[in-house]
Amino acid sequence: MMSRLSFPLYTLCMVSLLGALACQGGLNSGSQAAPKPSPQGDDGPSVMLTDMAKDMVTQPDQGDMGEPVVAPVASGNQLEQGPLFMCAGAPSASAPRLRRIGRNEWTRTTANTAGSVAGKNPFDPLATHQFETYDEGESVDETTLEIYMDGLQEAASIWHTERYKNNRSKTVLDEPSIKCFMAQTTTKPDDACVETFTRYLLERSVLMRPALDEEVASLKALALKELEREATLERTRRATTVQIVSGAWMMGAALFRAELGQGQPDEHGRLRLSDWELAQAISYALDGRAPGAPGRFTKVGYTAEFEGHLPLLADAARQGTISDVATIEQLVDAYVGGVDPKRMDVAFDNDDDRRLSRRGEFWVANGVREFFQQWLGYGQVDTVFKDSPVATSAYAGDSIVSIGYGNLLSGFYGHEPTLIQQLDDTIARIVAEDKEVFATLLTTRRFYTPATAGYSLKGQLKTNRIYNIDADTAQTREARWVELPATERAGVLTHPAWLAAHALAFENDPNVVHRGKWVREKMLCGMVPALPITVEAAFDPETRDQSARQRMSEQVDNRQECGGCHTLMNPLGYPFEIYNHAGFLRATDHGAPPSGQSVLVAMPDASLNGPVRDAVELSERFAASPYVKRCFIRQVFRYYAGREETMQDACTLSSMERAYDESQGSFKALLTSLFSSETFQYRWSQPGER
Amino acid sequence: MWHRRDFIKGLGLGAGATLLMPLLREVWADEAQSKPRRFVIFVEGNGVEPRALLSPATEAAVEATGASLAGARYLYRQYKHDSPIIVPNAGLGLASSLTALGAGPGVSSLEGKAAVILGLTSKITGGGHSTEYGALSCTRSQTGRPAGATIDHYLSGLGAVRDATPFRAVRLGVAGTNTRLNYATCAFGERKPAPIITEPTTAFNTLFGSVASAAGRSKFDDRKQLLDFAAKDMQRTLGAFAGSSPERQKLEQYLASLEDMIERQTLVESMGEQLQAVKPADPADEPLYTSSDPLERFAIQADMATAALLGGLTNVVVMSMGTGASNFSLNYESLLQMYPGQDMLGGHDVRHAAEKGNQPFIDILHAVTREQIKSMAKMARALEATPEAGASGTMLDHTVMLYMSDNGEKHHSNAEEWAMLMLGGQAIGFKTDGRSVVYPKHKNANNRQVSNVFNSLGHAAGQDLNDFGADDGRIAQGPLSELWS
Repeated sequence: MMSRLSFPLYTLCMVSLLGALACQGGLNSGSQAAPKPSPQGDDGPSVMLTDMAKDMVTQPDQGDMGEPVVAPVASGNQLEQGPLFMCAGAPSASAPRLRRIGRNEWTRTTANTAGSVAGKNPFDPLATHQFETYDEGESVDETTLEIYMDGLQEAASIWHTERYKNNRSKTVLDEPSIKCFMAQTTTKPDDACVETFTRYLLERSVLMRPALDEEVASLKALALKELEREATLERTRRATTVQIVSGAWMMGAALFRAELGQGQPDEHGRLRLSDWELAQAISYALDGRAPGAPGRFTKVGYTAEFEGHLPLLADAARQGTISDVATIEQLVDAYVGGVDPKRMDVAFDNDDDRRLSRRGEFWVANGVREFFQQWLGYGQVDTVFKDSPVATSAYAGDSIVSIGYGNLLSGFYGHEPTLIQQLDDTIARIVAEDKEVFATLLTTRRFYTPATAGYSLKGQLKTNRIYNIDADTAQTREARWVELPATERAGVLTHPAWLAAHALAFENDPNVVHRGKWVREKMLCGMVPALPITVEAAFDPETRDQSARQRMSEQVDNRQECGGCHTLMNPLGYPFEIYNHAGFLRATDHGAPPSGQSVLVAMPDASLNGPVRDAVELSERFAASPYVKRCFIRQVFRYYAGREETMQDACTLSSMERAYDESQGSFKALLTSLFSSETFQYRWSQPGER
Repeated sequence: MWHRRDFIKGLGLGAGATLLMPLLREVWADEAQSKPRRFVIFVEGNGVEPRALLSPATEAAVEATGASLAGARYLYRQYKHDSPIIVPNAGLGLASSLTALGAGPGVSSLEGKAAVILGLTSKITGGGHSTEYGALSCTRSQTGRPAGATIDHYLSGLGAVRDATPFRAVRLGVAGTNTRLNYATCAFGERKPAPIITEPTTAFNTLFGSVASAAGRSKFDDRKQLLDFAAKDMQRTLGAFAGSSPERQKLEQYLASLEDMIERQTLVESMGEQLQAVKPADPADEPLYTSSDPLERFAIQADMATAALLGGLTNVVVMSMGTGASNFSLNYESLLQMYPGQDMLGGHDVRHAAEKGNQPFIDILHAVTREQIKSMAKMARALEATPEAGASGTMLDHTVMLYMSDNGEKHHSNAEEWAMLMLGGQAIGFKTDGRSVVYPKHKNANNRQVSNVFNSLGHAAGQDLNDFGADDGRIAQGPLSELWS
């Protein structure tokens, strides 16, 4: 029934099964490899594949009936990195697309919170997408629709809330033109009032752009029908309003945001995004919500005024300046991040001032926080089970530290930031300060840590031990910022949240493989073949008393048939063995001193080769590598462009790199460059043309 | 191919279709031209211990082949035999987790409607905490990435199975996370996870909102209005859309979803009387809908699935309890008395303690299985008490129920023994006559796999299904003659 897997996965498995030679062929051969002749000839884009990717695509499979299978466009880690940053001046654009709204995007744009019923909407990304911003193949199937409709009335939460109640929004309550409709009377509003209401609803709360007349007419028809039902059912105006808002949020235009372009094609066959399409594209990429999305009232005040969130973006769209580089630069500068002691950005989801006051003072936009969480993969660390989290650390056997670790994940006791939030805040400072962001990410020793002084619950007492801090930390922001020893930590890859997210349940599990695989794929933009189905990847249970290093070296490293894949991962994972599975620094490792030693060979950047002492040195080496920096830029491109890079994006990627280098490593410059690029602002006019 | 949806459209039916629905149901029933066939699969997350389903008579029969099972927790390691052992009248109700099969006050024994299957492997799926979609698809799947359709989806797509039911399949369960959906077990196809509804109130509104109290009925009508509006709006949008084919497909899929739901609403509306007769308690009147105990929520979900079967809403059900790698660490509050010191431990910790041979925690795991099988037996008895319309026997005779795990035999599973309980289905060929069947262990001659059980389900559904799942590592094609003919 499944006699043949689809071509990419099948070929990957074959690569694996063929053993070491095939896999080692996947090692990138150099950071600045010369461009190779285009396999598609002069008319097509020049596609530079890694050797491993070439194995995948040069011998395509055939369909069940013998028909040729069209090879997919090579993208992402399949591509050799050097040519990706060589701009030959070719015009660039993206495919026109409809972007189905995402879970967080819907929640925020409807002014609801992540923890609310609305936050459980089913608009999750496809599991195959590296980043949640990817849109390929995402629509609304029957089950998704069913679940969506169950919580749909939450979309109207700001529309039926009375003045002086929580969740109210100035965007709704302070607009005089809709009061004729919102008044809680039995008098049926006149036709003009209904039209004004439906247009305002669409433009300021749902579509978040000027509504087309046909869109208004469509919703107005529903509104008139529901007003009739209101009289028949003796229903309140509030209930009628909920039904109309629900209807608005079922319109195709509400669920599928267009990036199709407008006007006539240019000489290259491209259409430019309309001002509102571009404003929305930037707004969703940057903050995961629409420009002008309504704010709501919280215990610490309104999250946005009458104009809503990101009002400058909406203004720029109205004024027709949104595509100007200078405007984009100002918008990015205003909305990427900064300092806010009140932390109103997180108040949107949790307005408990006791928690807000314990967070770091630096904030970043939702789209920045989520980029780093998704790239580094630490956003779900709280779901990763750890058996004896303190094992092999200086706190082995200390149950209070173990309990504290659990609280670092759950945040159940007290109001200190969780482990995830600590890394969020550590990164936020780096982004907000905006100097050599990439290198600082990998080398900073200034971590935001939890306070412990003055607490009495077990779960709060020793939570800072995860950072090897033995003394109590005072309940001030200044005290929570701690400079950790140079021998212990350097940057995000040595942060406990990252270390725990990429490790299994036990300290001597094959965490080397998991961490090494992540580094190969996400830090070096390389490829690792999928696990062959004939391989049972598990250590011999009889060796459970040995260290992970011993188990790995004796059961995997010395077996030639494993080398093809594991040489891509293990040398990059061993440096992290100075930490246990939960991110604690090891004090001992099964009777021997902890060791992070490794030897890197055949790395894509020759400067990375050689012996490595531990993860601290590895991080510092990565921070100095132009090759690794380029991979970081590729990750930024993927998240904010909402797709994987192709060879056609070479000019955009090289412009991003130049902007970054010339600005002394500014993340804002990276984003400004991308948002101003042809890739971001243009769409091919003919579907599938490029 | 003729589809009932085309038929509705061909007739130009809209809201007026309600009056014709009984007639349409008869037409669709004729389409099936076969006896009713229902399939119910209970899936327990993170392991079903084979010993929990092992009756003394079965143990004795296996030991008679030279195996020593005394004290052995993982039975497969001890098996010596090379051909299936069939134990008739195996006294199944004496197994530690199968007590619900026995007769009791006011209930008859189900032992004569049951079979226990031991010794099956499914190495292709891998083991570990969970095989995710692997258990029901017999493929090696990764988290969030099914490698193929699961058996429930395969069965629910067959006309002879779906008959005239509005829901292809009903998937309900309980998960460890605070979400309404569990996407970790079922799949519509490769890379297409299918959700299981894990919140009982949501399940009730989905299945029985049309016959709920006045407030519930009003919600049903509101939904109908919104669906009609959105479908019209999407038709307008598509008419004006000039974008590319892949993007157009997104809109078309949404419109198709809207039309499917409108069709379902219409059909459900036509079934009001029969749904009214079977609907479970309204969430407003039943606190167990929001119980903090997962076993109580599971029981409510099972009652809901039972009502869905009795009411003709579906012929395929999946019931899941904590399936998927992130969902099995549950706090079984109703079993608190069994916890040492009555200190509640998370389900993950319970399993680790049991892995170390700690008997109280092994007992808790057996009790968890027992409680779920109690819900399964309750469902079976409800079906047994209902004569099959238009066919001989009871609904249980036409419904095969399977109980299995999502990873094999234990917490950190090797996928080497997948113990199963089968109930009912005698009218569609299953030999559920109180027997046990113990297959030879992994690598012994005549070992059989989970995929063979699913092949058997396919045959019972009227299909010549012999190679369900991935081919790699397949031991034998076809159904299991010891359990189906």
